[in-house]
Amino acid sequence: MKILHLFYDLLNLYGEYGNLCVLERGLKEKGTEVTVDKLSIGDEIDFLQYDFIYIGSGTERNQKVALEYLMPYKEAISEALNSGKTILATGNAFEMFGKSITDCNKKEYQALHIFDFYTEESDKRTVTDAKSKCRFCEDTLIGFINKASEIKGIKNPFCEMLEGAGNTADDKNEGIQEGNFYGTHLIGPVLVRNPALLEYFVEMLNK
Amino acid sequence: MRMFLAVTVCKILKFLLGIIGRGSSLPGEIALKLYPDVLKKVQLPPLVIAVTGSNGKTSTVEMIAHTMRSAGKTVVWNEKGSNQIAGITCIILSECNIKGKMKADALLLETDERYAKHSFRHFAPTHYVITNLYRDQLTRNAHHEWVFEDVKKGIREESTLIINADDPLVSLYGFGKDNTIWFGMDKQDFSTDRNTGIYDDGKYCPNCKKPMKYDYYHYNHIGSYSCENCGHKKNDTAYTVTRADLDNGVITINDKYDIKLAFKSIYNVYNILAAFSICSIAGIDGDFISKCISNYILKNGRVVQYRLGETKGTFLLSKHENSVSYDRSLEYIVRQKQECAVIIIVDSISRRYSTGETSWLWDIDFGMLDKDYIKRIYLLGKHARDLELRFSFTGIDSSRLIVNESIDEGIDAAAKINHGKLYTVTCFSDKHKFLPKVEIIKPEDTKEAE
Repeated sequence: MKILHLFYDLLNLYGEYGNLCVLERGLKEKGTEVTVDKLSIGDEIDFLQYDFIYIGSGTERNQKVALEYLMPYKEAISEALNSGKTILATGNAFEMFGKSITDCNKKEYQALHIFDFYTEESDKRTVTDAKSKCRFCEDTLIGFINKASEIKGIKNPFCEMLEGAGNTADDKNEGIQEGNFYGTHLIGPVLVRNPALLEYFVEMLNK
Repeated sequence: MRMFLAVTVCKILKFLLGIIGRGSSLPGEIALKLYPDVLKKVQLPPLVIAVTGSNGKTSTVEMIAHTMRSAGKTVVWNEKGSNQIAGITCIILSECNIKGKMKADALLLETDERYAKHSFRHFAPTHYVITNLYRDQLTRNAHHEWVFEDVKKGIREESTLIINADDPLVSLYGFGKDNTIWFGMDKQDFSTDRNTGIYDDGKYCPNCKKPMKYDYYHYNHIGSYSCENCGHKKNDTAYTVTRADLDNGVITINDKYDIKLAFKSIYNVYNILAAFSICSIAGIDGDFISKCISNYILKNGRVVQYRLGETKGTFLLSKHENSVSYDRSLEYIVRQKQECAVIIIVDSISRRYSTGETSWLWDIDFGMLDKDYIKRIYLLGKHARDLELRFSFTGIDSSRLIVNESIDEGIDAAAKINHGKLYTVTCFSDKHKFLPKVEIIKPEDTKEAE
C-alpha cells in the first residue's frame, strides 16, 4: 500500500500530517504494509503509483502556488481517479479540483477542472466549530472550518452541516464526494478527530 | 470646544466608573461619539511607540515602560491591555489637558495585530515595533499571512518601523521602506543549520514563494534566510545580539552592552532586544538601558515560581493555539537538563471563545521532551486524551505519561512525589486552574534567579 502526502510542507497549516500518522497506524494494525511518501514543489509526481493521496490546507497564496504546480498533472490526476485511486483533500486543497478559483481581488485562476464547481474567495473569513452528518459513514463528524471562500456548483457533498458552515453561506451541504474523490473544508487532522472516518478509509483501502 | 467637551466627559466618566470599581472603555466610546475626530486633533507626545506581533508584546512593552520611567520620562501606556480604539481613546484623553494636549513624554501602546489598522487611521505612531508573526490563535486570526495583511493596513508612511530582521515575514514590511530600523541576533552556539520544528514556515519565501535558503536557524523559522529568486533576505541589523549565552544567562548587544537574563529563554532575549532598540532610539544611554533591563523580573505573571508538595516548580505561561510559544517553553525545560516532571494542561483552549479545535497540538514539537531526565509528564484537562494521542506519535514511552481529564486529581497525584523540579506549561485560559492549587514563591526568594 502506498500513500502520498502531497505538498506536506506547503499546505500544512493545521497539523494535517496527523491524518497520515493515524492512517498509517490504522492500516498497520490491520496487518497492511504501508509506506507514506512526502512530495512537494520541485518533485516529480507519479500519481498512479499511489493508492491514497492526501492534500491538506494552506494559506490562500500557498494554495495558488500548489495549484500552479499541479496544473500540468491535470490528466494524470484524472487518470489516477479513473483507475480507482483515492484522493482526500481537506481545507482549501479541494478547491483546486474545481473549475476555477477567484481571489478577493477578483483575479480568476484556472483550476484543475476535474469537477465543475468553482470557488470565490473574499476578505470575509468564516471560522467556526463544525458538526456534520457524513454522507458515507455513520457518524457525526466534528471539526473546524477556517476559510475565506464560497464553493458553488457542487452536486454531491461530503457532509451535511448540523453546526458550522456549508459550501456557501446559505447551503448546509459541505464539501464534495464524487466517486473516490473526497473534499471537505473541515480542516486539520480530521481523521484524528473522527475515528469513524478513519475507519472508513482504512477499510476502503484494505478492500 | 468639542475637544474640551470630549476630554472633560471622558475624565468625569472614568472617575465615576472608577468609584464604583469599574474600568471600561465606555468613556472613550462616548468621547468618540461627541467628537469622532478627537484622536486626529489631540496633541500627542513627541514619542508615540506602538508594539505589535504574535508573541512578546506584553513583556516588551513592560520593559520599555520600566526603562523609560527609570530614565525619568513620563510614560502613558495601555497596561491593562486596552487594545481597541475606544480603550485607547480613553487612555489618551485621560492624560490630556482641556486643550487636548497630552502631558507625557511618551505614549506606549501594546497593539493587537488585528486592531492596529483601526487605531492608526486616527493617528500615526512615531515608532512602530513589530516583533514577529507566527501561526497564532488560528481560530480567531485565520493565519499569519492573513494577519500580515491586517498589520500592513495599519502601517503609516510616517512611522519609523523597528522590526525583527530574523523573521522573514515581518521583514517584508521593511522591504523598500526607508525609515526602517532592524534588530536581530547573530549566529549562536545554539543556532542550528536545519529547522527543528514540526513545520517550516520559512521554507518558501514570503515575498515570491520560491524556496528559501537559511544560513542558520535560531528557532522555528527565525534565523538568517535568503531568497535567490527575489533577493529577500535577513537585513543588516542596527541592534544586534552579538552573543547570547543561555546557559549562564547573559547576552551582549552590539558587542558592548551586557545584559543578564532573569529568565534564560530565547524569547526573553528577543523581547529585551526589541526594548533595547526602541529605548536607544528614544535617546536613552545604552549602559543605562542595560542596567535597567539586567535581571529584570517581569511583573506580568508569564513566569511564576511555585512549590507543589516537596518540589519547586516553574510555571511557564504558553499560548494555546500557538505552537511556537509552546515550543519555546518546552525548549526551555529541556535546556535545564535537570531531573524533573512536566505538567501540561489543555482544558479551555481560549478565554475569549469556546472551541474544540485541537489541530495546533500537532504543530507542537512535544517529541523534544523525550529525555531521560524528564521522568514524568502529566497531561491534564479536558483535552488530556487528545494530548495522549498526540504524544503516542512522539516516541515518548507511555509509561512516563500520567493522563487525567481532572486537573485537580492530576495535581494531587503530582504533589505526592518529589520530582526534583516541576514545570507547568499552560495558557491564560487555564492558568487559574493551576496556580491557586500551589504555593507561589516570590521570585526574590528563589535562589536560582530564573
